[in-house]
Amino acid sequence: MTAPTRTPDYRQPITDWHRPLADATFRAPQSVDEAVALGAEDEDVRYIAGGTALVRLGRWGGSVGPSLVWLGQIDELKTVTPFEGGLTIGSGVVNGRLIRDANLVQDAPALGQAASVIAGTAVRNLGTVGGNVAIDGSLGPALVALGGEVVLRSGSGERTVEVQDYVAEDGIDEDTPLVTAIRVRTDLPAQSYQAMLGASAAAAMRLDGDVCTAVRIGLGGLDLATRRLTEAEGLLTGQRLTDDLVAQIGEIADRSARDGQEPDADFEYVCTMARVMTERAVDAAAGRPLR
Amino acid sequence: MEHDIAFTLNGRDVQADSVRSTTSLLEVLRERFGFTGARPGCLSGDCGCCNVHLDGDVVPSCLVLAPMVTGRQVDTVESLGAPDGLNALQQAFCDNLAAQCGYCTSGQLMSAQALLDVNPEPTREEVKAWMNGNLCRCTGYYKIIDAILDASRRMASGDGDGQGTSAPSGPPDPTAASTTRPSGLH
Repeated sequence: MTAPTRTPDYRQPITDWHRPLADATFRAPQSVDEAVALGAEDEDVRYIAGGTALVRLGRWGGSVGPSLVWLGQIDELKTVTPFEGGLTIGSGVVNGRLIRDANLVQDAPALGQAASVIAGTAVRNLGTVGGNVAIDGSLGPALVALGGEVVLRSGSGERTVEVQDYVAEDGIDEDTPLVTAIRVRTDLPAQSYQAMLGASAAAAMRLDGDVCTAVRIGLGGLDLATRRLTEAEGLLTGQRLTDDLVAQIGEIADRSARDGQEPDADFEYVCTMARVMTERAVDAAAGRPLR
Repeated sequence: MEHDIAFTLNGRDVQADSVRSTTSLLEVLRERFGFTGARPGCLSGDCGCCNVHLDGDVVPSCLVLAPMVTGRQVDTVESLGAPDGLNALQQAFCDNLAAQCGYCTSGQLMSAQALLDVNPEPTREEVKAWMNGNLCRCTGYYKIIDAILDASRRMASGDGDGQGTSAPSGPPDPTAASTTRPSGLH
């Protein structure tokens, strides 16, 4: 049944209220192989999953590109598969699932905490883990704390890159790679993600009493590219957590935030938030009271 | 690039012909089918005014590109009830004065209905967390939260759909002129 195309006659047509996007081709492959082939044959391809970032960009003056390849019909991108010591999360898994999937919440609570700061319920039902990684979004620090690796496939084959390197585009040399999955490790059970406008941090650790035996720490934010605080991890590993030690971790986060960031009106605020959120993430993961 | 998009809208199979690739679902619902309950607000997914259900999940229709709904199920606020047969949630909104200008109300209802579909007896904190993507400039939110909790209690006690004023009249015909639009609003 075809619905009649009509405009209600009680008002004048409004042409631009919807902030139209520039036209583009739209293709919907049914498999990863098909999607990769489309990317290999057309360098203008932009992969789109939920569209919550790309459509927003296009709505407010950015370009969605001339060629869209929608990943929403590829079921293999929407699975979560356990492996020894970790999980493989398909890039098409929606962010809301990180909050409501009981198994994911149990194994990777920091991811659910990170997802909960993304927009609202409706947007989280649309936006995907892969899309969030692609824009270096809120999940970044949590993925780093979980030892996250991005699985890429292109015409050249498949390989993995650590999340912080993917964000920095270190070693991304092929055209139009498709993020198919993110692998995370569940070996460090004490986890916390802390966020405030400007900066977010996540810590995952293993504790023996009040001694940290292993830790990974991720830091990122709106204007702060996701990075791993390896210096802080080295300082913390094998040590009993004390207020002084946590403060030293915070100073490392502050120095990291200052490095490479353009000084602007928010500069000191972002650096302060980087320090505070990192300290809170470490304290919360260790079960210590937040300062 | 244009597409003919066949999908299920409020329980009926429909098709929108010659739709541009980057046309939003919001635009198709309002301009092609006359379902103006979903409203344009921020057009960025921030305000919730355009929320609809896609395969049972609440989503912002302003960010859904129309070709993405091919073969899928879309439900708008018009599917919840009718003026002479409000569902429990809609009646609770009325009884608790949970709307003032009414512009955000469609989106509030769709988000709230989605919550009650998965969690029929939410706590106040669960309601607040779930509804944080729906903005309202008028009410201050308390009456909206009260209405959702009231609806939950009504549904639990069996005082449910279509008992607000008269018997329910069923979902509106997506191909007919809409009769569910409050006067003075569009």
